[in-house]
Amino acid sequence: MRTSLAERLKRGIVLLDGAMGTELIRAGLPNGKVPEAWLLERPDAIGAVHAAYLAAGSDLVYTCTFGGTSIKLRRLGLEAQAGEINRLGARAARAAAGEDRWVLGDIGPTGELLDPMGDLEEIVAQAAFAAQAKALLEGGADGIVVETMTDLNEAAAAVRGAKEAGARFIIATMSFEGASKSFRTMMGTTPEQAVTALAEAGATAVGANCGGDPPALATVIARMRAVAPGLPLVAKPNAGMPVHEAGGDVHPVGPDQFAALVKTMIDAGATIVGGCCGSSPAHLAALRAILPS
Amino acid sequence: MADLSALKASVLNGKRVVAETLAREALAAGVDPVVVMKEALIPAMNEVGEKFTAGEYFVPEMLVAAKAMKAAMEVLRTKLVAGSFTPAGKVVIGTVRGDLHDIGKNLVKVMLEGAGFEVIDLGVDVAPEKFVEAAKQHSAQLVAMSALLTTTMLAMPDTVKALDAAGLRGKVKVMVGGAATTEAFAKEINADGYGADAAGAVSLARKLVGAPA
Repeated sequence: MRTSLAERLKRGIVLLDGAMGTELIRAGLPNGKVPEAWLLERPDAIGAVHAAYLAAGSDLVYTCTFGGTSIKLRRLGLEAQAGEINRLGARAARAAAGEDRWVLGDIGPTGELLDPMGDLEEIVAQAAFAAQAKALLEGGADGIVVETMTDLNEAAAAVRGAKEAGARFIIATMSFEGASKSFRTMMGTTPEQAVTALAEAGATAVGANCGGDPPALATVIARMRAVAPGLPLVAKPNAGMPVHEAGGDVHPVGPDQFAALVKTMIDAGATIVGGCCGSSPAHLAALRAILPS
Repeated sequence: MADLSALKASVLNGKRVVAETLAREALAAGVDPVVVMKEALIPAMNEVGEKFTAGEYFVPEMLVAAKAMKAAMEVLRTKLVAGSFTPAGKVVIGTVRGDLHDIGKNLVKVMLEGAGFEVIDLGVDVAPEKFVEAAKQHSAQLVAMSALLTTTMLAMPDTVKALDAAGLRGKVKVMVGGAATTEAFAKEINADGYGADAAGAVSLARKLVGAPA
């Protein structure tokens, strides 16, 4: 039986999972179909991805509900099923993880721009995030992860929503660009601004995932560590940037190179690590192998 | 006397209500709306693009500036005599088939509008035949396609081929952009250019229609 995640963190680095989307594409997710819709049609395919990461040594898996806010699902005509989709996503992950390992309910961006950039009111976004988090917790998630955010206001609204829904462990990660964009997010947020504001909003752990330049995450983590000495920090990089080839896309960073890449982030201060787009169970197994057991 | 430099500054700083008020004052003072556009609004958005490229502005600053510019434009539109302002070009824009991501596409749209282009927005998940139909219907000079995903960018060559098949490639130039795309990909699919970001897309559009930079 698992302890709380906060307790688990005291015993050393927590290994997250790898990519869901690119693994589902490999499993035959049709072009144009969103992973969340597959929770309704092919929950077995999603369960198989979770199982493969757990077999590779992941301590914790993220649910397949990245696009599961009612705001994002509205574009697909799936708004009415938002609660069901999120509960199903949490149950699929819990069924694979059993009672010994952890599940975090995954929340991604709404896909809309918040006021004053766009028309989405912060309070409306927060309510949608809270509803999603509530369904994820009902389905059996141990906490919530807010990821791939570029707008700090939206990320903070999601963290507050998760807290409002009763989540006690909340990871919040944003997507940063590389040195050419001064390590900011697309919307201009710096690593220091992100870690400060998200911890203040109630995140238990803060960090970086995905993004335009995987090696840059080590710099992002080091900059966060400098202003947040005691906070658990999260790094979940891509396995390189996708290269388009005739037979499909290739993420150029292989398992061993990926483990070495993540090691630079651990050295920079990351205590919770995993992989984003293009990483596979083989990448996570290689990463597990370099972590102290 | 209307203060066009203050109007320009209000757009640059994303002050929507101020921009609207100053545009109204300029019209009340008898300034030709075309002059207001050419001396205040378009130069303001050019500077926004430059600041974005230089890393002084980020997406939020660009978006609020574009909103201020649009509000001022709405004021001018009521007084703009038909035919007195020739757009820099007509662009049909959309996110490609299977892709629902529109933040990047919308950014390019507002920056193109800010540069004086007329933009016909087809939205997201736009099939190749829709691009062809709209390009024909509006006699567009440019088709601009966006894709965030490496899986959906594969709809771009289909659109290029459909424009070819419809005999439009002599009249319409194709530009592509979005996180998944690259300069090399644009070449490979026989597009006319690649824009790395919204400011880059504006320079590219100007080049493709032969407008001054």
